[in-house]
Amino acid sequence: MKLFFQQKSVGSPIYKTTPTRRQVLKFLPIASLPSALISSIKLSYSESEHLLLISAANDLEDNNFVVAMHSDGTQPWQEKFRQVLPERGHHVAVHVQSRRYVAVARRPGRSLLLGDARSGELLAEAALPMDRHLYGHGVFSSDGRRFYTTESAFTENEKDSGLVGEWLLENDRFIRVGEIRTEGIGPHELLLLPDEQILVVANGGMRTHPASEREVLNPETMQPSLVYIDLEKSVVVEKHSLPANLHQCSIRHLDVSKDGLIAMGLQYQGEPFDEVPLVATHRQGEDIKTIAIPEEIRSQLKQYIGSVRFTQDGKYFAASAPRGNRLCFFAVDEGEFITAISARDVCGLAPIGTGFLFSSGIGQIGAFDPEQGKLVSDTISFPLLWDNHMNVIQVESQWWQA
Amino acid sequence: MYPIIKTTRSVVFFLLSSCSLGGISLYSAQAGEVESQYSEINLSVSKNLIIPAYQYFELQSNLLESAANEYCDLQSNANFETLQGSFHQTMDAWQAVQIYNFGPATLFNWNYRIQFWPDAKGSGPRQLKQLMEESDPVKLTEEVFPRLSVGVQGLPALETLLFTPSQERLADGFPCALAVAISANLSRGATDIRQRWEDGFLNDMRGEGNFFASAQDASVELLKVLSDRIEATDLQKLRSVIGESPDRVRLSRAESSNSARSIRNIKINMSALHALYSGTQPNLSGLFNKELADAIEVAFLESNKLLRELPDSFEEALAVPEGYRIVTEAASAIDRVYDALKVALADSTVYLGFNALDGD
Repeated sequence: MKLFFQQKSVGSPIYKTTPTRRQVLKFLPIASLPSALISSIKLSYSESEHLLLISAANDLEDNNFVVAMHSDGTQPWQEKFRQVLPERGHHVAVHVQSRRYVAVARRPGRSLLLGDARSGELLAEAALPMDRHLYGHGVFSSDGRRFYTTESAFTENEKDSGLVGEWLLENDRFIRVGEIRTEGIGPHELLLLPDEQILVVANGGMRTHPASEREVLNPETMQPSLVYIDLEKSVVVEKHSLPANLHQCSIRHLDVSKDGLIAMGLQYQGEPFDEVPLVATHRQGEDIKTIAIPEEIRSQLKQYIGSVRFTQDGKYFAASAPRGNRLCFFAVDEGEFITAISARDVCGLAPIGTGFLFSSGIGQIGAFDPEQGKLVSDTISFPLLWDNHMNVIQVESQWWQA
Repeated sequence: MYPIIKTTRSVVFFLLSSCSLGGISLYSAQAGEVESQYSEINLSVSKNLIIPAYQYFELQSNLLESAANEYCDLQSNANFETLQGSFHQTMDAWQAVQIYNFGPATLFNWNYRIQFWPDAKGSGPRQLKQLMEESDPVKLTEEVFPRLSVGVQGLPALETLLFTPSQERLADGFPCALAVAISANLSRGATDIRQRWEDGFLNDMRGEGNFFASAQDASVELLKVLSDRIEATDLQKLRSVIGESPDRVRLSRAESSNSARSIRNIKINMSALHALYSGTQPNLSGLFNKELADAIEVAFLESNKLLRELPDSFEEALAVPEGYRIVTEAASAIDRVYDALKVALADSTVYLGFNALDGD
């Protein structure tokens, strides 16, 4: 399916309701697109490489999809595929070598789908145990043979019900091969450390149950933590928490830099006026370090960070605040906030070149380079609502044919 | 005002829409033209509605502070009634700006410090009781008071002091000094917010500052205020009190039951929201298809007419035969405003949010 773009400035809303064919022609004209989106970013990859952006998204009729956009670096983004999902997605993990993606249903969904990252075609659906649900995040092992998901053993009402589901991907099938307890409740994002031996997991601390949908059942007693799991031993080998007075700061989203530094995005479940940290970093063997954001900006973030990502070189990381309509940027060496930009409903982040691409729930995609301290492309809009997380991979042109 | 970078660049975009904006059809409008039309709406709403409303809140807060000081100096019954009256005037003024829950009001937690409500955990009364028991005058100084719990800093705490029957009248000493400290705090907040709107935020509303990505983005924020606050007025302020049947009324959930004015607050909110929608020229109604815009206008007129006929408090409204039915009809009328707005938004080029509404 070919997609026609609609360009608008950041902050501009998009057409919302079900468009009839006549309305599509009326509202979504073929616009002359700037090629600046890719070409003006200082990129570290060769011109023969292509970019593939994959993200969960809803269309204007509230249908759920995995959507892939493609650019060869000189042409504007073009839609590559739009694969229907049975329920709202969250994170879509991509494995470049095997050309596969896995779409993970968000809490308390149960659909875990394997697809072809070139065509979108669905290849397999995992059989999740009946007493488990997903949390929207998963990660491939570097060889693409294994996949790890954060899950809840939701019938265990009194215990630490968080776990990592371990899957073998064989002949395009999911085979459940194990579970590892995360020693916490409500695990959310998980990632592998660069050595591939350790899985780092954000235990959000929030207990929910499918029967009460997304209601948080333990706001007063929640105990979020960051845990490191040794995959060979299948046990937690390190567990870190914020100070006790910050126990309502749910650790939800993570990224790992090339040298193993963890960036964390927090979501505070306490009072809206409390002055609490919303981002932090951690290195194995050390304590969690919170990073201050100037109060004039922090107070606008609505106690909610939706995604964090490092730049490819690990010098900076970004944290998105969709409720506060802000993107914040941090310098890693200095361990401090550097700047923020205003972008409505922004959440998805992906490293590119020396900076980031960002996506928003009102359909926008833009690029910011913290090195230059500015936007490095025009921000363009699509008639799609990009969901919380996006993935951008760089591939050679023959990748599509293989 | 904010050390942030704005994301707007001079992207030429073509917003093809049949709706008109300030008399100019957007169908053929270019980016700069559209942006300037949004800017004009925001400027009109800010200068003619929002800033005057904050100026009035500042004036009433100042008068309240004077009334509190005078009562504490003289301790007469007449002064007490003046002070109670001044509380009502200040609350009236606050209810007209309470809806603007973005920008300057959210800095330094002023919105919560002026009125922390709803207070689901009852922390305000608890903190107030503790403060009264301690009776430590140091806590009322200008340096310390702003750092106390938000629950004791604003209008709900003052309402308790002035209107709770079990509370001793503000006899001299600590309770009186606390009333003065609260009213002075309200004055400072009102001045700070008004100044920020006048000095820098007006520029942000025009899309020329850093707070919004564009003037269009600021207009979306105003539409979000309209949508969110109509819904909150209906669900939080009205329906949560009356429940689903007469035997499920919960007066303890009302916003200002001690001062018997919870419905008066709703009347002012809805009147302020109506003014935000169509009370200036140009205004937000110009963003919608004319027929759908008119439907919102009619719904506002009908709901606000029903509300005007109600007494100021739930207690009084529900005490009469048919009272429950009449209040429920007013709630349904507010529903119809919200529904009409939803229809118009769905037909427009505006999308208020996705990740922000239901993230994870």
